[in-house]
Amino acid sequence: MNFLHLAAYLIPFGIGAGMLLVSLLAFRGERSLGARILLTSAIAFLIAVSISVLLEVTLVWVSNLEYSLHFGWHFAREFSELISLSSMLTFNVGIWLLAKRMPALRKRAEALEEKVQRLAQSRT
Amino acid sequence: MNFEQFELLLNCAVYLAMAVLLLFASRHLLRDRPSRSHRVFACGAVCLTIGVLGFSLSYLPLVAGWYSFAHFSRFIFFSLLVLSAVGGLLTVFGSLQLCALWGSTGRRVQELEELASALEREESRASGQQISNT
Repeated sequence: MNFLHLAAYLIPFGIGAGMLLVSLLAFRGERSLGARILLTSAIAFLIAVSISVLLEVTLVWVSNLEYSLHFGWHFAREFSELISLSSMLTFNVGIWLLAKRMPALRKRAEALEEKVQRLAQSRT
Repeated sequence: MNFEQFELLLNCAVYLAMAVLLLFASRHLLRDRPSRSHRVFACGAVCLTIGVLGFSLSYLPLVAGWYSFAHFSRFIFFSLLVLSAVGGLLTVFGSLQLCALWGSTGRRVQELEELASALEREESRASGQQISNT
């Protein structure tokens, strides 16, 4: 296993870690549908990438698989790639949902600030 | 069309859908309040959409079997790949900023809601006391 192989294995994990970080940042605030979608898709991406890397490593270790195992290996690899691709798509859906709801959240924060100021003034 | 070509087209369609979603997200953000991070996000989304659309189209001659265009498509392929990589990095930066903003605004809303309810309770208690005194 050379440096390029290692980089090819590590880059998807880096992307997954970034997705998880972004989703945790969003999850600190309001736990809306968008934030939940972000977290779920980041976890699904990391699982799919782990399975894909595990399959690659098994191919390096076991050089000549039997035909039936070979078919299963290819099927699992394609399936994990499909899962990682779809989780990236749902992650972007989550980002879109957050961006769509962001103006409403900001307006709510501004309205609450005004309300608190009014209440504080009436108290004094 | 064989399985590899179908997989390639599926990948292109999914990446294009992602880029369009990010473009719509940046539109929502820029309509509300254009800031520097939102502009970076929008710029990245535009770069990503152009890049992904371009390299999806540059694959088409290969898929369709127009091999005379294949050299040209390979020539522009790498420049479009670089454009979409830059766009991807910018959108990652923008989405990081967006999620940080979402988190901080959400926490601020929670704190303000607690403060407002405490002030309202205090005000209602004070007004009740005033009524009982009179």
